Amino acid sequence: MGRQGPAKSGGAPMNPHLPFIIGAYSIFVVILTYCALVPVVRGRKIRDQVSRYHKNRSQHDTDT
Amino acid sequence: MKKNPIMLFIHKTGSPAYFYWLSGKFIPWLWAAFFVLAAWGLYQGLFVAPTDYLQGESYRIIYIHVASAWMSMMIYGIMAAMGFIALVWHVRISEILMICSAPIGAAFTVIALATGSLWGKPTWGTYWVWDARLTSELVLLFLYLGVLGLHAAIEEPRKAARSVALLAIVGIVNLPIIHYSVNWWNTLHQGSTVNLAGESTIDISMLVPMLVMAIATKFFYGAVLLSRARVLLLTQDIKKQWAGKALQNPGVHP
Repeated sequence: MGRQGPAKSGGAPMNPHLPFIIGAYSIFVVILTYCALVPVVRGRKIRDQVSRYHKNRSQHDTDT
Repeated sequence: MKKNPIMLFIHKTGSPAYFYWLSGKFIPWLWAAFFVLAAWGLYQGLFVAPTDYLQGESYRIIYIHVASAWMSMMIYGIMAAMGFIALVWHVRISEILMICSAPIGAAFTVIALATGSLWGKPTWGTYWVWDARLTSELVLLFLYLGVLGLHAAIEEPRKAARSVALLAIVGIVNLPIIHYSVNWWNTLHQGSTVNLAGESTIDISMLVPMLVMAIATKFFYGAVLLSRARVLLLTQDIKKQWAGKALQNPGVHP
């Protein structure tokens, strides 16, 4: 991103809009990452449950 | 009699086992397309596109704000269409896709509202104003929350889906209000800058990354929607034989 505005003594010039841009992009990244991770975590749990259920059932079927 | 291949595909996709298998094949490609397009779009938007002569650098929020706002409306439209299919033809996969769309749509609506607010402060001098575009987008968020709340409140999944479908269809009236709000009322929010039928009022160097980001978010939606749908299908069908088989042989065609 381009820098603008006069340089303050001893420091690099700061874009006044930068905090807003960083804030907006952070919200975007955090929310999308959360959305992407929820089905991964839930999927792992439910796959374990399904596997356990069908394993127990097949074991029960062979026992009887 | 020879069967229509499109109808055959629709009928096959209606089977949970086939849907689970097919969606598993699509998801990695959707993620790949999203990452490639988002990386290119964000690089072009943040580092290559020129600074706006009036708004300065703050306009760069457009690359996520507009894409998210479009997604919030598109997902609601898809949700209502799925609701219609679910109500009329009782297709279970439509019910699943409808309810799995709601949290993703709500997330994009929150992003659109939050990024718009952060763009509004340096541009308008305020984070929020009760103008028609902002208020109707907020109403869209409430509709999404209503859909999620209604679904959570009804225990029987198919009954819950039918109620949600009805609410989704009724709420679609809000979409044209959001879209045309900047034309129908005098708003602080700017008018449409992208015009598919005529000439857009945004320079091509700024427009292309914005459109690329809009396409990237559609791939994101596809990937997350299918992932959520697979999880919900397994949750509802935990005792069904197909679920056990699908996990035992994940790559095998059912």
